[in-house]
Amino acid sequence: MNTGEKDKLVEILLVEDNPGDVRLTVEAFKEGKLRNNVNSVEDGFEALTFLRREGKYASAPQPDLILLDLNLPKKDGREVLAEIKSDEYLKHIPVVVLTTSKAEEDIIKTYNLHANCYITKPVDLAEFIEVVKSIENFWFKIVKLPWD
Amino acid sequence: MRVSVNQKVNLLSVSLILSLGSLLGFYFIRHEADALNAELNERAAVLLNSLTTNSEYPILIRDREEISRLAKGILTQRDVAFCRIEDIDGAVLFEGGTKEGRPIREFSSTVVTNRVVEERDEGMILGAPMKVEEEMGKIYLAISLSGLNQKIKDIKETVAIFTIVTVILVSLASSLLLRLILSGPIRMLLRGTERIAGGDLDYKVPVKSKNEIGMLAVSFNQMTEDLKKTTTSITNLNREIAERKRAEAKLKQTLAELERSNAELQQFAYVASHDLQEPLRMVGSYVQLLQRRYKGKLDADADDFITYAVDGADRMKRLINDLLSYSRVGTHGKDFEPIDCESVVGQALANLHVAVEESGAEIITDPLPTLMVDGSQLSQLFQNLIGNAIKFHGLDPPRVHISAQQKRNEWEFSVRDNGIGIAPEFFDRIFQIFQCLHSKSEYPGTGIGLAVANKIVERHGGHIWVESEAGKGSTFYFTIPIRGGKQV
Repeated sequence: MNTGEKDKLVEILLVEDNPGDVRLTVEAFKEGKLRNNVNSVEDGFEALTFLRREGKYASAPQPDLILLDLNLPKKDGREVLAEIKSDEYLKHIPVVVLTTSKAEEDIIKTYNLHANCYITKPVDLAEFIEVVKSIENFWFKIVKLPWD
Repeated sequence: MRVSVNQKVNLLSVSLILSLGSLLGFYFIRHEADALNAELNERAAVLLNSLTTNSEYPILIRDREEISRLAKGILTQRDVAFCRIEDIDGAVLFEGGTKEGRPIREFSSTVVTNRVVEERDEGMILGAPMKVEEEMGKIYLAISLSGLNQKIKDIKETVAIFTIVTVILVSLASSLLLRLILSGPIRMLLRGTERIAGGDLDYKVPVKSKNEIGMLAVSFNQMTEDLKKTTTSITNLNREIAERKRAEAKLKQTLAELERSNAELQQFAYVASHDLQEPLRMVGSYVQLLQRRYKGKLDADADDFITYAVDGADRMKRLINDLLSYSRVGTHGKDFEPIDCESVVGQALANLHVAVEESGAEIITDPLPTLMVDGSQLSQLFQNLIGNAIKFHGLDPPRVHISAQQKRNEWEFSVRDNGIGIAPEFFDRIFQIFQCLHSKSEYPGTGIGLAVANKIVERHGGHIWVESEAGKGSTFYFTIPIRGGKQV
């Protein structure tokens, strides 16, 4: 990230069906250091609509980072991941799988679908906030992304 | 051919009577024949004698007419077949009848006369005159035997008929008698056996006499009684076997149901604790968020309430985590493989390093074997036992001694400490889930550690127990059976 663009608004897409988790994530990002905009969608289908700017999301921004839960209604997080990573226009967007599942097969499967990283949601709030801060720090301060 | 006892005995008695009858008949016939012969001889002698006496004079005077009359008179007598009278010179004075064509017996007699003579010597009479017997002829008589033979024949026939009739009568009588005394009771016995063979063990053969048959009937009834007893005991035995089989089947079924319900319960515990985590995370996170953002901004009561809520959510989180790890022992175990127990203890101690350092614990580990186990579970087991040994220390710094020794086909591990010990009445309770002996403020914990330890040991086919005295430390023992595979 360029130091000159300190005030750049970071666009985040949160795909999460539980409003409590959505709010928690939003609150955690509020404690972050960057200006961010968390856009949230409730299911996999809506997530793809958002990313392809279809329907009511025609003027939606392209997110800088996607936070993806795995267990979603309508379209499963794994299917969404597969579609994003096979889409020429979307596959460059980093996808962070953020889920409660600790199952090994979920971890293996999502990495095989080219997830950029896999994080199990900590149960403790303080830890969760730390994790969200770490995500922000890592993806927006440490990592060099192609469009920077 | 089937010959009944009755027929056999009958045959025997008939042949006995037949031979006896024949013998008797034979003797009777012989006796009769002898008697008839004697009578014939006597009559012939009488006839001959009378003829001889009567014909003395006619012969003397050669009165042929008289001789002929006498002889004819004899010939008219019964059975007299032939008569010849000769003089001393052999001249035939009479001959009548015939000897031919039939069986005869011949008799003869000499005719004598008494002549008075005077003994003279040279013309002198020497004494009184003497009577001198002088032969003057011969008489032959033939007696026909036809009558005799006929009579003997008649006697034979009579005896034969008599014998046959007797045999028939006697055999009829004996058969009747046999039926009465032998075959009747035997038939009854036979009927009895048939009834008993048909299953009627209550049937009794009537005892009518005191002879062998009666005794046989008594013995037979006794045998039936015994058979009934045996059959009854066999029936009871069979019933018992059937009942036992039923009970066994029921036990098997119950066991299967128990296994199933146990598995279901484990699955339920796992799913429930897993699913409970989500809402609990919400509750916990938001009360923490409340605390983070609003602590000191509301009133003191609100701060207290929030603290209690956070604390409660925290405890519940631990409980659910413990329950999850407890149910995981059964549902998420790994396959057994040869594992070096020393490395397992090393792993456990690495996880406990904070507690070890804080308490200044001294840990001694003896050489340990390599066994077929689930390594991570065994590590969890040691971690729980060593953790407890450190946690429940007394005034002195904890000292923990881990050792193992082989006992037949299993290894017995022990974890000994110098801690506060356990009173014997709690030895069983401590291995149950969520059982604590101390208040949360004294020794915090959910009471899952030993329950998990117990479950891990059970899954490995061993057992766990404790030996302890309050205030003098505890030793926890557990066994791990030696399984196939590479053992060192």
